[in-house]
Amino acid sequence: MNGRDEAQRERIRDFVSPVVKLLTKRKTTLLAASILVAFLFIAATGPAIAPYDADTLNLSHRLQGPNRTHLLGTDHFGRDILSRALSGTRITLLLGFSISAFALILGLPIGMLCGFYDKFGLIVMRFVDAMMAFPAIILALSLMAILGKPGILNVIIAVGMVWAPRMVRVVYSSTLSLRENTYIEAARALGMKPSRILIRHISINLLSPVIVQATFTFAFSIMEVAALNFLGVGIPPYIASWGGMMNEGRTYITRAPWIILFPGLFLAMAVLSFNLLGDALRDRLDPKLRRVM
Amino acid sequence: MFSFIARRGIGMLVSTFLVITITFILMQLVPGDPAAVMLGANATPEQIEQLRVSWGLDQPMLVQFYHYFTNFFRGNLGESLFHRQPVLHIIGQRAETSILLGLMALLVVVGIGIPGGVLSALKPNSWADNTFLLFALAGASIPSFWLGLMLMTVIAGKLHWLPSSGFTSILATGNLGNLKNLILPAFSLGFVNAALVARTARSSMLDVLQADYITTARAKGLAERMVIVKHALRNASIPIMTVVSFTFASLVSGAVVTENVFALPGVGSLIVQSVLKRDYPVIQGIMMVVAVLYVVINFITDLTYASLDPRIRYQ
Amino acid sequence: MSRKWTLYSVFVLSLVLLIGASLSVAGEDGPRYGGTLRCALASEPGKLDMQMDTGVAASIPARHILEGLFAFDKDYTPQPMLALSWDLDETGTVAIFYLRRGVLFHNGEEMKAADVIASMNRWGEYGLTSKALWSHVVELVALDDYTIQITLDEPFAPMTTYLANIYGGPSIYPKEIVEVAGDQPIAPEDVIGTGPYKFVEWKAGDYILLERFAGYASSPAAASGFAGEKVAYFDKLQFFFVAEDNARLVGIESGTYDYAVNIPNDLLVSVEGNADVVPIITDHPPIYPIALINNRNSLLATNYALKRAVITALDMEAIMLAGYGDPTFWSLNPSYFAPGIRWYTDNAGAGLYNANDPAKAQQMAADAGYNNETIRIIVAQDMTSQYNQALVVTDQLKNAGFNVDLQVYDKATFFSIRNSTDDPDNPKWEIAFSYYSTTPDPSLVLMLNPAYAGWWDTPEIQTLRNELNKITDFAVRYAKWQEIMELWYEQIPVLKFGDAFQLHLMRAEIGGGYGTPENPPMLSPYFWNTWRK
Repeated sequence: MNGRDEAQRERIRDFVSPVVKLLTKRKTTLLAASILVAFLFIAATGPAIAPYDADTLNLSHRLQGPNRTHLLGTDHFGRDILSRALSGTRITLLLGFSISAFALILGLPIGMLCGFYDKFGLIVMRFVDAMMAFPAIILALSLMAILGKPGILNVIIAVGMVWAPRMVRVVYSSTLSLRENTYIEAARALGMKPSRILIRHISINLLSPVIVQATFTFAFSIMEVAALNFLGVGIPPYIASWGGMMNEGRTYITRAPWIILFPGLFLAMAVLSFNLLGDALRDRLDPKLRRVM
Repeated sequence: MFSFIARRGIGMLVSTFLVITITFILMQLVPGDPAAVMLGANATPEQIEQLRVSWGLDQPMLVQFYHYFTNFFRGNLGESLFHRQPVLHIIGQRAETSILLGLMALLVVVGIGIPGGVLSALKPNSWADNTFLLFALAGASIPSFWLGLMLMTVIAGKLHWLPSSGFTSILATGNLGNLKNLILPAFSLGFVNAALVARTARSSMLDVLQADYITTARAKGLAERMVIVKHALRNASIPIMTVVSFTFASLVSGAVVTENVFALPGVGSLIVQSVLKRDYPVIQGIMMVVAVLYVVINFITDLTYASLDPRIRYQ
Repeated sequence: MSRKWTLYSVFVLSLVLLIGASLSVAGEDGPRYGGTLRCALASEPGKLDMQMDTGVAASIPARHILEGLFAFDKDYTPQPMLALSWDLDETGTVAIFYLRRGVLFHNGEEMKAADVIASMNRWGEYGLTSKALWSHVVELVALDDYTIQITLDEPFAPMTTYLANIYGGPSIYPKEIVEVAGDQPIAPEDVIGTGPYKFVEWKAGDYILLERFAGYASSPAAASGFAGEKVAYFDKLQFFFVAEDNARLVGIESGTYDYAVNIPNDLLVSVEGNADVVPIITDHPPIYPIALINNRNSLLATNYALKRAVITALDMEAIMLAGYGDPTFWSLNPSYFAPGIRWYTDNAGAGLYNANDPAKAQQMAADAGYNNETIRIIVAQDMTSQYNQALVVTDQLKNAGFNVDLQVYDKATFFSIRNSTDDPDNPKWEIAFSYYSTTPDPSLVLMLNPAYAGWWDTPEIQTLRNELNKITDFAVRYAKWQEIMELWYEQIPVLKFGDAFQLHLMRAEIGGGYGTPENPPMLSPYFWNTWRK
């Protein structure tokens, strides 16, 4: 009985202690992680902690600066900025996760197959290169236009399609170099089926570069979604989002700068935290990646 | 070396072909009717259909693609549905603004990012280094349009130090002073990328400075400045170049939003307007020009790598 | 000896100072030729061919290039412009127009009857506002080089109004241009008119440049609104496309632009107290924010009781506040035309307009058989005021228990959905947000045009429409228009929210009294008779 408990506790320690070490090694990482946890908390609790409903129009309170009833002020519809910014957290994190997941689900298998099967890789990587030749915003704009109605799903697809090729690239080059490993060659020599090699051996080792890439994808994609919302082609504007708030607020930048200021700060904090986390992960998991990412 | 060039060259041509095809397919899928937008709110359906036919929008896709493809290689990218001028001509008219903006932003990126990163690598973990890192990180995280709007309001709006928006051609007026209009946009565009480049430059320099050959060079008594310039920088430059070539794509992306904020008549604002108006030929033209440019720049970068690092030629 | 010289030099000096002072004072107030006027527009027009475009953006530069047979003075009464005078016979069906002589086109050719006939025929066939008049035209001929005759099948009272309304109306082009263009919009470099400025350059996405036309033949009448004498003091007019509101605002504050169009009303406070900037409030006439209702085949089309329920739920004050900001910029008004315009009526709308009673609305809807069907509201995001209003209306309707689906699109998609007439059995929207400017005559009101989106074409309105166009006497026409407004609030073809004014900003150094009551802002700004002080 005791032995099993001991073994369990050790296993938990084995898992937890590197994470703790990672987080505490640099003060910045701890800060980043705390901010992210705070955002997650905000996203999870949703409307419960916001002082007002994010979408309630209250025209008699338009364009108020930060004051006691509205800590971060109100916008041109009288909506509370603090509540909207908090509400925007949810959609931002949702979009960030979904886009990273989209890129991952699409990019991981394609990248592995390209890296493992040369002929397949030759053709498909050309397409990937071509897709990556389009600057992100321009591709996202066109995809949004194609998908038609602005909407959350369409944004995920459009921005996801911009980041999937990059994920493919990372997976591809990692797979290529992993292939040269002796034990992989040994497995092939022993007649192990390629699919088994891919799944059992290679994918496990892809974890590090993929996680790092996913973290950076998260950071960049929420910036891009904000930019799309800012240009007016992202998610429907009445859904509170940081980029959307900045777009609506740009007219009032001289009269009511708080409408733009606070969502911008929230966005910067979120992106900053993900960047810091990505850095820490990369340094911990595979410092060699610093040269390519 | 020659086979390397040949291989990369063929890859470049294939990518170009794919770029053209992908662009065309994408544009065919776009809903919304440019003819309706052109004629305005009060047009009748017959008038709209007339215009569509005259623009050739009713022909089968393959026919349109064939015409498009053959025309591309003759330098004819079609005619803008709205401006009634050749697409290449319109892009050319607006290219000056975007190119100048890009070059000035690149100046900001390279001028601030590289020296900043290198210098802070020389004194790692010092007070200066940490401050710089913080700025760099903050810089990489703020949205460029937010920075642009803030700068516009404070520097142009309140202080009146610089013009707030617009840009008149220098080629047309011969007035170099017009560059003033690009200072704020270039800064807000370049700042984010400068931060990224700085971080890469720093970490790349740090890695290199720890290498054995640097210790050897120092042990040999070589002057510190020589150590840095002749050995460290040279080897650190490859990852730095990678990031700088990424910067091109990032600047082009960022320019779209920056031109929007500062009302600059460049290619970036043109594509946003064209997407909103469904001006297919212009959208296609821009996507292709930019993408092909990127492919070519990549090609040149690859060649430069290969000349800097012989190991790459055999990959 | 020295004292004499001193006195002498003091005398000369004072003389010089006096002359200099008076010269500069005269220069200060008097008109001066020269310079470029830089105007910042909010969007780029699609084309300059005014016959085929009713967009405001196009009309601002185009109005300096093109002219029509008549033009509106500051009271919106049609005055002869390219026509010298006209006669109407007793039957009211034959009109003879005598043209001015010596009027030159920008290409140097003299305007003659052949040009007028060609231009008017083209407008009649393809122009956007011609149908009501042209359906009655039997014949249009030139009696000689400077006289034309129109024969109608029945009297058409607002004829000169239609001829003066070059907003989508009969601008006069040279015959050769018209013949080549046909049904295609005329290319900018071919937009040749008789106006005080001529087209020079259109740099896509940047600006339109016009230059003074040295051979301009000005009307001899006194300047008033769009009519009368037009003197081109500025050498050039440059219209920039500056979509970003703040860029226009900062541009005016810093002097980059001399005139900025459509500044968001909420930003007026930013320039109050700035002596260099003159706010120009366009209340003459206002614009009308109106939401179209799909009267052809949607849920709301003929269910008048349901429409009444919808309008009862609305708080018009909140809607106008959201769309146009501070109350100094708008007023509530159920009638189509604003007070001060002679077609204003106050006989309709009571009890419905601004009822602001969501509970009652919910009850009315239930009585009308409403069963929670979806009401689709469509709006274009770049039409900011309309978007803001749509948001508020959605909110108010939801509070009254309606099931509302708000769909926000970019302008291109919005128009294509709104105007779509394919698949008539499947309506794509119930309510579409837009805004309209005052038209000079009730017959030009777009809601009365059955081909226009909204498609109000009930037998009752058809009758009233036809009757309206036959009446020439103003008092009788006015009474008929009152009848139409009554029907309007019975059948509720559209939702009118109020009258709104827009804010333009002008640099104080632009002289000529533009914006004052003698020289009021009209449907669009105009820059003849203005100069840089």
